[in-house]
Amino acid sequence: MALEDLANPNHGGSDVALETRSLSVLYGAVPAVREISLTIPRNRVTAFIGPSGCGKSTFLRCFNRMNDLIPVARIEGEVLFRGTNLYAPDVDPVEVRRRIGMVFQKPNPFPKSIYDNIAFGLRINGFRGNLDEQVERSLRSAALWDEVKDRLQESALGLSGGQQQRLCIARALAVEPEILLMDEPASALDPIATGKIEDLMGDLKKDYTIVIVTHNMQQAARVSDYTAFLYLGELIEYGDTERLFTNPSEVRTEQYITGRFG
Amino acid sequence: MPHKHFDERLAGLEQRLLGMSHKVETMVDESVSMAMGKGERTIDEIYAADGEVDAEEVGVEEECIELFALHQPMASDLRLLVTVLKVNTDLERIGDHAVNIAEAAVRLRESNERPPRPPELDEMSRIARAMLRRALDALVHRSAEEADAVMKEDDRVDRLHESVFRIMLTHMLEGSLSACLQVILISRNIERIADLATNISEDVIFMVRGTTVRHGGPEAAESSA
Repeated sequence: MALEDLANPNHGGSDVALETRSLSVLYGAVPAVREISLTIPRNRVTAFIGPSGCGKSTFLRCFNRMNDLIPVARIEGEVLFRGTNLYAPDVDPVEVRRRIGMVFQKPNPFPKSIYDNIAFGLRINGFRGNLDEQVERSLRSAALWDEVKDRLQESALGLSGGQQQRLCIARALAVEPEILLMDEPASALDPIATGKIEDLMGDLKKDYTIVIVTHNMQQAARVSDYTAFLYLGELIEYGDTERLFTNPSEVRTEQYITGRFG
Repeated sequence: MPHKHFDERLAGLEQRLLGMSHKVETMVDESVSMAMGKGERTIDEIYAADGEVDAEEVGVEEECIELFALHQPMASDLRLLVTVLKVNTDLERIGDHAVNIAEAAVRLRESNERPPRPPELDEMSRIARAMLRRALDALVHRSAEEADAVMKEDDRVDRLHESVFRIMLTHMLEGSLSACLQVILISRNIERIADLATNISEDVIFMVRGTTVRHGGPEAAESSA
């Protein structure tokens, strides 16, 4: 049932891509995320900000069940995607990760050719269309095609850091997800490569919902439509990015974004 | 982030702006006194003060730009810096209006004609100067309430300016054209000072509350779009 439900585009509110209800994550007995309820709007960029250890990456990883891979992590509450709780017993986490892709802090291309990096996910998902076209489409979507079209068979490890990160984005896009999770996607990149990733987010939100974790508040302010501020595992404030960065409602948000925390 | 350093520079910048505002207030008082046929200042002294205000305006703006570039301020810091930048420009322009008033006063003094100085001119100059003083107090005390009160005074100054204009128009028809024009210019510049005091008040409200009240606020702006 899960796969059909997840694939049903009419299931769930059309403006909401994801919703959490009293979501908590515990590492053993230690709570890392405390009963967070929020909605992630569709075709928008939503940023999570907060000091190190506030739980923002842990929270992000709940959205495609990446915390399942951490043995001591325990999830309570619900994450609703198209009306289905992603943590329901009959939901396949592999399918969840196909629909909700992820890009990590450090670019992690496979030690294969550029072409195979993109084609890999398609092959294991039993893709039956035109592989070349899909590879090209994915690379174009990630604004990388023009830079690599003449060397598709060369090793992905020969690309620059910024190109590798866009390759990872292309790889995530190849399997046609609806949501793209980005955990500090530009923190290992120089300002030019960072600018390209940020521009790319602006382009991609037409077709995808993007959720980003970033330590760089200027980046959150530049790229996101909505921002959530987390502290000690709690959601302190969530709202329109422009308002949050110019006139936050909560004192702790004000203190954090002006650097006067603690 | 080196916040101690940033806080110190922000405080220093605010002090600079307050020093400039004191200078501009004095310029307005002195030029209005000249216009009323009183005061001891010469036009050269007003020019010298204006030169200092112009130089300070550039300095404050450069400091703001540097703080924006180096610290990328957010929230209340961002609103404070934006307010300083805007009030800085407003103060410089008020200084220019003070110069205009002083120049018109000199032309009036050197003229053979003796046009009437209607009591409305005196009253509007009193209100405009009080508006400026209170707007700057609102800035110092971060008082949106005080700024609100200043904004309510602007209409009175506008009406008094219209009165002065009508009165002087009547006298112009009787022949003292050039001198009457100087009185209208003085009135016009005082009215502009009240407008700029209103602008400063609007900026203070933005700084304190984070809301835009210019042109009737965002709702009015949206409905007229």
